[in-house]
Amino acid sequence: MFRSDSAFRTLYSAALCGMLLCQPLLAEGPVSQKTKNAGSIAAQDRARYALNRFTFGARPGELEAVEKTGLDRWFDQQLHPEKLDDTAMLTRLDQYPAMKLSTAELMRRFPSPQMIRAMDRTGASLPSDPIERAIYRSQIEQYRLRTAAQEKGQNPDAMQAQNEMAPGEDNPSKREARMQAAGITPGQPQRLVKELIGLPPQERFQKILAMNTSDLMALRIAGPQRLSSLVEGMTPEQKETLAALGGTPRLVGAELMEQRLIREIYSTHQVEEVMTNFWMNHFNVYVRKNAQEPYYLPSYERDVIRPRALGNFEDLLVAVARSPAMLVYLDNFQSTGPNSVAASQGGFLRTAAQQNAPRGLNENYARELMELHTLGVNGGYTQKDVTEVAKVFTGWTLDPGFRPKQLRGSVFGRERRQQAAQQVGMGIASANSFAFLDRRHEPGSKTVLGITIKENGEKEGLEVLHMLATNPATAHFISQKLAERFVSDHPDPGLVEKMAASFTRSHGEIKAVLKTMFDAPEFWAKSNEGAKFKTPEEFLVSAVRATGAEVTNSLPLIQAMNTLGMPLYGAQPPTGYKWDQETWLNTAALVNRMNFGIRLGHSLPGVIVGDPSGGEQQSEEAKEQALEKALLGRAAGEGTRKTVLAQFRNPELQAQAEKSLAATEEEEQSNGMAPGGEPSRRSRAEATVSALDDQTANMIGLLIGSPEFQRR
Amino acid sequence: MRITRRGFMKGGALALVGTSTIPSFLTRSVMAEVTTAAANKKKLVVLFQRGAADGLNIVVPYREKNYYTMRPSLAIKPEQVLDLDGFFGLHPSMASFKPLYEQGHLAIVHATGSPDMTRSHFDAQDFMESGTPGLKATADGWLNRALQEEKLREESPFRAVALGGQVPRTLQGKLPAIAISNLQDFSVGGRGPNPSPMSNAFQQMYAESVDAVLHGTGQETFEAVRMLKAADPAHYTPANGAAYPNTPFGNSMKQIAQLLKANLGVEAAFADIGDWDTHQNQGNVNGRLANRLKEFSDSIAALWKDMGDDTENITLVTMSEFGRTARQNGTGGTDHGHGNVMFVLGGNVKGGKVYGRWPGLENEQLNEGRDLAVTTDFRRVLGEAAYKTLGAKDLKLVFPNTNVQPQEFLNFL
Repeated sequence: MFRSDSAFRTLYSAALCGMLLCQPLLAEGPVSQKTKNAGSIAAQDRARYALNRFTFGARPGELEAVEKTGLDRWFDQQLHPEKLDDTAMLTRLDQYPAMKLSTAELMRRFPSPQMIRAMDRTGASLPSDPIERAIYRSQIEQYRLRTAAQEKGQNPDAMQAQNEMAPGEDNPSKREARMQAAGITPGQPQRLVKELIGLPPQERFQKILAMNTSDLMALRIAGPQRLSSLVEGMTPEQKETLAALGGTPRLVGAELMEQRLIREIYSTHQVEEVMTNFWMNHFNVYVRKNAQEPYYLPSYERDVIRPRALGNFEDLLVAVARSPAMLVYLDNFQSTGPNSVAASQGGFLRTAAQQNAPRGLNENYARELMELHTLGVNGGYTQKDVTEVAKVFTGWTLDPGFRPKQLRGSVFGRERRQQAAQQVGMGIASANSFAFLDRRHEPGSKTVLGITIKENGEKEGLEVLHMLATNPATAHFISQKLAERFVSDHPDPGLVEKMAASFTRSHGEIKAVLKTMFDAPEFWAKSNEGAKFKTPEEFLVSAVRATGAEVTNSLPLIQAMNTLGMPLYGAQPPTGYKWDQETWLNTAALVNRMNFGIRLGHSLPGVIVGDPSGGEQQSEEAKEQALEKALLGRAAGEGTRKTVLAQFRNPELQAQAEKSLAATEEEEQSNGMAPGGEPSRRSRAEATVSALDDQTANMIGLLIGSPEFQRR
Repeated sequence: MRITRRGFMKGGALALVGTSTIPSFLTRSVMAEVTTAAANKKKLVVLFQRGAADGLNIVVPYREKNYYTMRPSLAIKPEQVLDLDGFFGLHPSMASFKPLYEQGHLAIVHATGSPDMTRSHFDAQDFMESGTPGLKATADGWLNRALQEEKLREESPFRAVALGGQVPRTLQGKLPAIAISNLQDFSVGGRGPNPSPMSNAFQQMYAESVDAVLHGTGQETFEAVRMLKAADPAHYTPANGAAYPNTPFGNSMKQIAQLLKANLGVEAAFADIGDWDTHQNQGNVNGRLANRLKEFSDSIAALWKDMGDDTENITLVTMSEFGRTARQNGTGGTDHGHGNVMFVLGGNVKGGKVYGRWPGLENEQLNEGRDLAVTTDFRRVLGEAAYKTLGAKDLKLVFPNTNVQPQEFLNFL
């Protein structure tokens, strides 16, 4: 009975599908709705809409909670997150101790490749702290191995690989070459594991810490299961230290990405996180710019962006301008006035470092400051303005900061230029805070946008930043971008105008602009519902949130972000990522999203999905509808519902899905196709079998990959 | 008759609905495989060097005195270049381009670029990709428009393919374009030769979606997946001993070769390569730019070798948003400039020659006193390639706000 009914529906829908195929344009899409439904979003749909706009998607129960609190009150709470309890998320962040360190501490504890190179060449002595000593020692030994391999012509990419950070693409053949170079003998990994495995955590930690490079590398290839059992019972700091032995920038980069996803998934301060995400993209910094950026980015996000994400725009702009992350990303740290003291002298450093010693203007920051950070590309500035602004910011650079004491005397002590140049390299490698160097600053007054900026050292830059922050073009540009993020790819110009006016009136108070948007009727226009196609990040985070997944290891999610085409901190151009459907909707994107849905439904290693439906429904239909409600926040379309319901009736399908899924993973492992070799090894070690039955897992997968879930 | 869902999918929508109502969308891709009309056609490969490549150090005007004055530590010395014609020389790390030039397959166009003076990467790329310098409102890309003219009866979903995660601006537009980063992974629910049951479930779901945009893209997706599976990308060995560099760009080139050989009806392929924005530590014979150029030229040369006789049907064009300042900057690099160099490679290319009028590098000859001037609008180069390779005769459609005429072609093809 049931069966024939289903067959009838299939037939019916097939005919329907044929009709739709003939005239796909007649189907109602968001565009045609815009003209038809000029009304506003129904009262009962508003909470869902708001959650889709101001959060990374609803978590289980959140919709009901917001409805209970009341939308206005909820939004107000979100704009003042300091009063919202977020301890559960903060506890999760305890897994990433390095992310609490200042940049200076981070650089000292986890030395960058440049630092290691400089130390090796200068023969500097190692730190006395035993843990730091072990980290430095392992890095220097690995550096020497790589250099030796490179000299033999075995591994020309070694230096580059060293600069890459996690989750890296350390390919297996490269690893094997290093293994050979490190003299690892067959059976060595197994022997080491056997020696360590029975020991109590503290003793195990000390033993590993004291190992030589050959043993350490042997251990790393011992296999994921063994590795994870080897760190069992250790503190997060100990685990982190051992991970750092395998590569410091990699560790820092991995923790940076992990904390970002943990925050977006679990923070109760959702508007703050969404806005942090917005500004991190607006003031984009690319993590692979060089080996320093991974060290600057934690503080950039934590100390510069997040505290000001809902603050004042000018304050944010100034903080970004002074941040090492931006100074390095857009090259301003090297920009030197052509007529400055530094340019005319140069001294022994110039001869030593030759063309690498900075002594000229670099326009990169000046241009992007106006084009991307403030006025927008049509903001009415010229090439002349760019050059003048570049002059204004000469001298805005990095303080060389930390140098190990034992190296300090050597610059003048040995008086060897070669070494002096290395010392400069070391200074850059360890520079960690803003400094204004007057000797690099271009003298004389400058003219920016028709206004004369009198010679005034560092204050010139502040004057220009103030000019730009308060320019009407900036108010408009930022408002437009916010509206594109929160409302639609083509927001109502009236709404943008209101927001820009609010921006100007409040002198750039971001909260005020958001509140203006929230209060505007244009924001609640019915045509905005589902108008936004999710970016890969919005898709992934909302999927993890909707399923209420328990994330104990976010590395598989970081890999998934790469596959989905939006690596974290991975936008190379200063524009950052775009937010629009045109960019993200294509055939390959759909393939990747469907695959992610399938895999998430069956639980990724370290990302365990529960049953969002609660699992207490009497009928198949009831269960399916509960899943729809939980994952989409509303009823799914007929086509989606039918496909998801079919999961109950096709047992072959589950077995197949499982099999092909496993096959994919195996293939990836065997031919090294996994986006990140190292993390995936680690992640598989922590694999936990899904608690869900295949039917539920497939239904979740289908709903996550459904057309409905791609929009917000 | 009981129709199971599985049977329905296996038999295909066509069997059920009947051929009279087969939507053209489905027939064209089903047919594309069996006809050779599209497969026999010429193919245009467009490569974008993102970040503004330093054309003056790529094809070096080594007879220009001022070149050496302006670039005291970056210049490539006359004895270091790979001489092309007694005036220009290739950067020494592009040795793999030298034979292609000598055999007459590789043409060079120097001092090309956009009439728009912007020095913004973002804008300049946007203008080059839309093909409308100065016009931001252009919604589609020039290469998409170049394919629009010809309305194929049987159209392949692979007519326009980009290697990478996103469809680039160049290929965005009315004609559906595909972006693929890894051919093997272009499959739902597992890699096997046949669609997985989950794939079939998703296919049905998208087929029935009332979301017109996702419905359409969903259909394109599953059609493309099916065709690619039939081409069996898992088992590919480059021909003629071609060795692709093991880098993202090298991989892109290899996969373009796979796609072109698979007779999927590819007419335009696009890939890009980044990291040309050498504001600092650019290097000269060795260094950052040299490494990039080696990867770039070796990858393209590998594609050439791999394609063997098929190169007869291929034209490959390279471009970058603008050149870099003629003078080196204070940080061992070069800043955003203007005029640049383009390469054109192909079986029908009249190569072994540097095309375009050389504007000179004396201070007074420089654009705004700082960059190589532009003497050949980039659209004249792309226009000729599209016209003669793809048969895009309506150049007003391809480049709407200019007047590119066949009589203005450089005739490198």
